[in-house]
Amino acid sequence: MPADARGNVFITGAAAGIGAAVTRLLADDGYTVYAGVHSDAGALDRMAGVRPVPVDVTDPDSVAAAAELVAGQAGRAGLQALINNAGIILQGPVELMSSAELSGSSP
Amino acid sequence: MNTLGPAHAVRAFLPLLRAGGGRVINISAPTARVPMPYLAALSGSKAALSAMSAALRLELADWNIPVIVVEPGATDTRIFAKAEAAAKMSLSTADPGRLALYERQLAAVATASARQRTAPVDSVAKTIAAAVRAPKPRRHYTAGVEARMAGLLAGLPAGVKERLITRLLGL
Repeated sequence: MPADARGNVFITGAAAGIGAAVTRLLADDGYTVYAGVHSDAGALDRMAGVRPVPVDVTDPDSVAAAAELVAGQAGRAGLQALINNAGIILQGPVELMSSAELSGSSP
Repeated sequence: MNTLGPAHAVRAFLPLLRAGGGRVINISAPTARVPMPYLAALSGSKAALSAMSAALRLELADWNIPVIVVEPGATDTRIFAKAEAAAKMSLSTADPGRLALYERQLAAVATASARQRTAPVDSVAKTIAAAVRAPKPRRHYTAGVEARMAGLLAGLPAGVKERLITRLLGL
């Protein structure tokens, strides 16, 4: 850990949008960011202070595995923040939504 | 994903948060407080996330683990384009007779959302980073005009609020 390290953060949905911007900001600020990504880590892989962690937040086993991975690396310092950022916007009339969409099993 | 995802994550990561004196930050949405038509699933899942956060805050108070809700308004990211593409896909498989019933409403909402101003992603990220850093974080942060407007709307009587939303969307 660098001397100016502020601690460890885990964020979901880090690959794009708000998550990617927060990841960059906190890493620049001296945090070690465990960046939860669903599929592709993209540019996060090459960013200083960022450690991509594969995770599917809809799958409890995947989330548990991610926590184990972070615990192995963060050690006794633990986490300063868990940021639940991953999310989805489902739009359209309720009447026209499929059962899979409503139950969250379809993207 | 919006409600159960954070619940799974809290369960799995709490030992690490206890070890580090950490905090939970849940990214909600203004629709949690002001549900919007044609965004029922988003409104419901984010309202559930906000309610769960409020319950969790009291559960975790014993360990001084703050539970923070951040509400960003519409932000300049691809999530809205993704949502629109997914909605188009979904509507293409919907019953044509029922879809026709919503023609006028969907056109109005499309026009209204094209008019919608989005906040730059960096300003929203700054608010979330502030929630990470604050020695004594607030329970609730908003980012963007839309999220602050939701705060005002939420306090209005239901009838007034519904008329305003209907007019705002051109319905």
